[in-house]
Amino acid sequence: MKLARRDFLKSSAAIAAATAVGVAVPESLKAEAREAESGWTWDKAVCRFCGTGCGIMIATKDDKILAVKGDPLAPVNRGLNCIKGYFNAKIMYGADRLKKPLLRVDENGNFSKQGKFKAVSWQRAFDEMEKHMKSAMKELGPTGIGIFSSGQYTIMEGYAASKLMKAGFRSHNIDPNARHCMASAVVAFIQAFGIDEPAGNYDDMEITDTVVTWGANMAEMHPILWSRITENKLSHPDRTKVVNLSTYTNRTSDLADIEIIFKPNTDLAIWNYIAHEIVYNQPEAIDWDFVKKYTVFATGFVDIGYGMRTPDHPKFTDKEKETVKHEVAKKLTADEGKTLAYLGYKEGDVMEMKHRNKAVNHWIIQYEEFKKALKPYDLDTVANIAKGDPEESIEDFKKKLKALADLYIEKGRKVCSYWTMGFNQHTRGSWVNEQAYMVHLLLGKQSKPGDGAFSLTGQPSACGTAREVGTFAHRLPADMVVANAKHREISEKLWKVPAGTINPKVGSHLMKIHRDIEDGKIKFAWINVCNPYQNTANANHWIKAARQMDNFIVCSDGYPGISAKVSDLILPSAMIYEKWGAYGNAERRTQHWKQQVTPVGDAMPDVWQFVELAKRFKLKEVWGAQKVPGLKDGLPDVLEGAKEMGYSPEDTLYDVLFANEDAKKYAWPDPIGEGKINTESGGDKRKVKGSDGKPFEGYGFFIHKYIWEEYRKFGIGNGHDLADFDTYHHCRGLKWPVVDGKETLWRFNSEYDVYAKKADVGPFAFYGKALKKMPQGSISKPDMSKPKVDLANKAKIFFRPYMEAPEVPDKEYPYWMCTGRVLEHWHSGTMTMRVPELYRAVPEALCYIHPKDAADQGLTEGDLVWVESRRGRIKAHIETRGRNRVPRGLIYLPWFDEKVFVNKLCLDATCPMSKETDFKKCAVKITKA
Amino acid sequence: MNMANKTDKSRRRFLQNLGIAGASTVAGSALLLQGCSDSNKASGNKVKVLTADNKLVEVDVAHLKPGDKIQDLSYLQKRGREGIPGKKFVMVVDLAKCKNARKCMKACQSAHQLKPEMHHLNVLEMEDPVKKTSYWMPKTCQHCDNPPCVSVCPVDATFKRQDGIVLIDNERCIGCRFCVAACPYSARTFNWTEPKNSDKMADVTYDMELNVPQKKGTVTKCAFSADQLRHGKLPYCVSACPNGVYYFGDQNEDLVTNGTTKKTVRLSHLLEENAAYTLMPELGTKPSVYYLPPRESEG
Amino acid sequence: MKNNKGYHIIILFCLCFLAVANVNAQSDWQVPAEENEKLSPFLFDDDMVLEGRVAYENLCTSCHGTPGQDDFTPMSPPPGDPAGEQFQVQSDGSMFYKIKMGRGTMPKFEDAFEDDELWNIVAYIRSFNEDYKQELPNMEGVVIPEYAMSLSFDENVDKLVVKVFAEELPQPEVSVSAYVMGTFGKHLLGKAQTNELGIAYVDVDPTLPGDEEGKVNVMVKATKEFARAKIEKHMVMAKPTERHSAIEGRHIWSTDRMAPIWLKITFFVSVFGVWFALLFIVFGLRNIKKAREEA
Repeated sequence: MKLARRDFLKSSAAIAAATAVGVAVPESLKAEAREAESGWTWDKAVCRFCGTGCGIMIATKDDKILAVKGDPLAPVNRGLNCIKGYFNAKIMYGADRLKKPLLRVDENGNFSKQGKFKAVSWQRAFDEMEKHMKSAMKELGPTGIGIFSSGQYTIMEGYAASKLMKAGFRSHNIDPNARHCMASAVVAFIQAFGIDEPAGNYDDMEITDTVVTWGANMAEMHPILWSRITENKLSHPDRTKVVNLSTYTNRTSDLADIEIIFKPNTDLAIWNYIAHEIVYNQPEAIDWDFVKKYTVFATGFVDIGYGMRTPDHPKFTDKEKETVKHEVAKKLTADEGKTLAYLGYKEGDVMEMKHRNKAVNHWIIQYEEFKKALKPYDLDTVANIAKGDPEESIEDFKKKLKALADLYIEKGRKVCSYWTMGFNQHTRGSWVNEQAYMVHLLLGKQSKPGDGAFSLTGQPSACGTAREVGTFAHRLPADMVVANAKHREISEKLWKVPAGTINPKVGSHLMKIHRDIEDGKIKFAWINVCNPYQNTANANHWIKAARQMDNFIVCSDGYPGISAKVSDLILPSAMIYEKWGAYGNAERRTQHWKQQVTPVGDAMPDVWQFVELAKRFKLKEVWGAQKVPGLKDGLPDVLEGAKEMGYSPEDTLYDVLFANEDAKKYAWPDPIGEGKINTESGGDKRKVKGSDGKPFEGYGFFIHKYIWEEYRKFGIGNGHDLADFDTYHHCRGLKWPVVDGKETLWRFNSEYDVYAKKADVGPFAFYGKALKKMPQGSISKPDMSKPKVDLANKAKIFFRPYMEAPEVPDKEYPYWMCTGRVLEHWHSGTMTMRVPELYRAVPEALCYIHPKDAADQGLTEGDLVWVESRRGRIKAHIETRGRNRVPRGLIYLPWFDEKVFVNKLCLDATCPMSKETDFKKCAVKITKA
Repeated sequence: MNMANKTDKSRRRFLQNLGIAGASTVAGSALLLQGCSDSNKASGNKVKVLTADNKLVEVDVAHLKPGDKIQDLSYLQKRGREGIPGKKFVMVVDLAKCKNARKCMKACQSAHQLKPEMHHLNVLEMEDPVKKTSYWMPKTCQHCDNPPCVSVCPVDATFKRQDGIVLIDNERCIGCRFCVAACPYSARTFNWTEPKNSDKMADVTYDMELNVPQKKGTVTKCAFSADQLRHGKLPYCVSACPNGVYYFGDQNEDLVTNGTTKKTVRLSHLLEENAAYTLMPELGTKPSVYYLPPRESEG
Repeated sequence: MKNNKGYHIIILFCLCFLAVANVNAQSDWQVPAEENEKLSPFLFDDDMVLEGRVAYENLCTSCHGTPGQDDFTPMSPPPGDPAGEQFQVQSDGSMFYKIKMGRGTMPKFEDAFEDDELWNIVAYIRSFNEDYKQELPNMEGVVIPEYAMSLSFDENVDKLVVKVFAEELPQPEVSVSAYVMGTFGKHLLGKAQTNELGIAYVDVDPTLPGDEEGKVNVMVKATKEFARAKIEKHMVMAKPTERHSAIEGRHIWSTDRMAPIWLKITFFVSVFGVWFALLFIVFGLRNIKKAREEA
């Protein structure tokens, strides 16, 4: 029977939805849907957006994506999608999708930084890249170039970029936007457990009795996970409790039994209150068996600064110096006087930041000192420090804090803590992450089904790509680090490059890459799959540096965002389903997909871009001896070693890193890719003129499989095991470590984790190897005379005090400014703002402000205001009744909107340990525009 | 033969005629030039003056030139046509403040040597049609950006210059009065009779920016005191007002200065906050004079 | 007749009343006690008198006339001659206050002038009184610092940054006023006080137009008690704007200088063309006539 369009959509969608929730569907309707969809090919894939990692099904016909639906077989989302997920197809076909490489040229066609963008060929694009890269490297060595990498790279892209940069160019100036997102969580994992990534998985959400969200608006940011938690709550309304801790009321509060609005930065105090409550008032709750066997107590320095540059830096304006001066010394407030008293400080003292470069140092302490340090955090003190809503009574607030503590402590009650950016984007982000583990470890509620601290990931592959592949300035694959000589050796062997190739000096992290560009220390930067000129705080500095100084910025993207507009060369890049790829989500689930359609215009995948660039560099140009600032003897000449390995100095990096013998073993076509295109391996119907000016017909081998299989080798046997390439295409992802084909559900738990069982020390084993030989010391400093302690299979319980943010509201700038996101838009909006439905839903970023604060300033809903900080000013419309109801003295601005460029206002203070920027706290003032 | 002679004769005659015509032209122009050249001929009047070294001498009046006034007519003409570069003058009149003191008119009449019945600037009593209250409205030349008077002048005597001022060059004006008819604001007036003090001012070189002395048989109007503007001073009417009615300034700078209090404010803010309007905007003349509405409390 | 006489008396009475009322104009303007006591921190020297004279001639002459000439404008109440008894008998502070705050038809000059400029006018008025002796406030032990100022523009937050130093030391709590110099007067951008680092920030409206490079003439004055300083700078602070002539572009109405070449040529060619054609026809007809006659 012929179907009208509306009927078809209804029936098709209805069938899918019905199937997802398990409703029986009559055969006749099924037949209707089948007919409508004849000619479509459905295939599984992963959602482009958040760290939840929902599975989706994509329908293609005639080389175009026609439909998207939730994948009923995906364990993460079971057929559901959130509003962004349903538009996974539309994001690729926006009106201003980049189709050709664009270069800034003057009237004569020569590159000029003041020129206007004009379309050029790929060959010209690579010529310019090669020219500027070589000149930057000639002038400044390998540290003169940088790559802004991404937590939204596919795993193959991340691996290719990392290998090219670290083994090829010998530079570690590659850092992802995950630095802005998960770095604090990573540092806490490594410091507390010795290995990265959460112990639990999403099943905890159904099993647990208590869900506590800390600085995470899960309802909007991880909607599918929230739907699972909602189901748990609604099915067990009396038993399951939900607590939302935030600096403002958001949609997550709608489900919460208890909502705690706290003052920014005081999450540090609240955790210590919970620990205080355990240690002083209900010490029977401490699981001493667990604590004595599997944990030690530790602490670190407090005078570590705030990750800012020192005030004498020439690029600071006088206004900025008002805040930046705290980087060298800060006067302690009354609250800090109480919480830092254990170190001998008092209110009014000037704390000099002596240990800025030793922020990560920590040492082991005894339980008595841990207990003593917790003394000031009683209910009264903490309530006064932490209460965030001036209109709430202190008694109510105290009751809530006590109720929260009781929920954690209650014997037999399973508790899961979830957090995302509220904890991570924090000048003491590593500390507050560690405090979460402190409480869970004290109570023994960790690594068990339904019990555990779970760090939620923001980006779709910050785990899978950035962290696991190690596309960081200080990391190598599989949790190895640059600074460790043994790790470098292992990597060099697996990458088949000569010993000594990898630079021993840690590179510049994301914030530092921007700062280096401003200082003229980096003169070539390549932006991949991210928008660093919109997503980095104190944006005025970086944009001026990119536009006005002598450098060459390249941006590979699908759409022209602010970074593309600021760059000198824009490369059109294939988007997610236009290439073979894999993502790893927050619960360690790695999921693969196949290329569904040919890329639009002349867009080419990022893997192709790295590999083509590699063709332009010969070994003799990059593997000779080089001077590196900060490295005493520079980098050694490894060409001799290369010759011994069978390479010639005339070989290109392409020959050595990507098109070597191992790679060619993986033939294309491959049975797993039957019926599917593979642009990099086999070319596609467009026959795009590539970097040599000739139509690109593919490399001839299955490069993605080669990359995957080589990458696997890093993780096998050391707790990062991944399955082989083909397996992932037959299932809906597997949670690593995948040992003997079986995924791991709860790590460090001998019942579920093969490695814990192998360690054979009891029901638990925290087998992570990093930072497991630590010095001992007192509460205030380490004692290097005492021997280091071996902490094999143990985790650390950290004591961290409460400290204030470097910039707090004062008379001139009376509001806290918090930034974040909205459900409908992803990150900087380059994709979602191009989808008409999502744009219509939320067309602009609004400034959420309390109605009384607005009235006091003579403003009404919808007024246009200037929001001004010491670093910049922007205009926005205010909203007094929206989805986010802020307390008095705080405003909230989402950052997805180019036109409301929030990062001009934000302060580029970071956690000194993780180097992650604190986007949630700075001081602003509001005036009518 | 006859034809040839005839043509020969006519050609010769033609050439002869040409020659006579040419000669007479040359002779005539020579006479004319001679008439013009000797401007320094002594007029016969003598005057006693003191020289720089304290000597008393008698000099013919015709040989005297005023010290600080430029006497070169062609220079003044050129300067008057060009105007002041980089500026665009506007005036804002605050009708809420006008109390009919008429000091502005007095200053203008006096500066331009005008007879009482001729006005460059007139203060009119207007009635609000709705509220039936009256207010005073000073009306100058609006110095339109699309001036109808300039379009109709057959001899290019009235023109708009680069600083926005519409001027009249009375050396060119033939007195046809098309412009007086064209102006919808009745800003122009005609010298039917000998102007005031024309005899006293006879030897003052004509400066179109000041238009003193007036010339009989020509048109005259408000010039935004272009002569004052050249020295960075406010127009005569603007400075003379005691009630703070006039603001004057440069639109390019977006600043206007009040003639009474000398306070300088942003033009765009002043116009926006006070709901400024222009006269008869539907005519499309685009005037440069803005009016701030009269308010009852000060009317 | 009787009525007329009645009217005369009434008019006479009114006139007398007015006369009396007028005489009391100056004296019944009460000035608050503390303002009356105010003294100029600056010595009335020739510089001040000159500045005051310039200000007076621009602003005050229209009503008050030239001091000493009694040629003030007849108004109600009459402004009076500043050199006269009514004025000179008042205190410095009283004069200062009256000029600053105004009353009725006497405008308020608070916004047009800084305090030191108002004292200039008082100095000028006093210069007409030979018996006047300036009473100076107690200056014992007062050291007047000499200020050095520097200006810059913070484009991130659109603020003018004013730094006030004296002998390399930052000066806090100095009142600064920043102006943009326009053609006819100075526009007040804002006033601020320096903080403990000697820096004051003044908000700049980003829509302010500058020249093609965005430069404007900025003038900043700093005063604190007895010390004062001034700095002028031509600096980038505003939006670069293209200055367009008011007569840019083609104008159809301008008869000669503006008409484009092609128009002139076409016009003359067509006019002469038509004349030539007419003459050709006329001569042709004449020749035909002649030919006919001869024939």
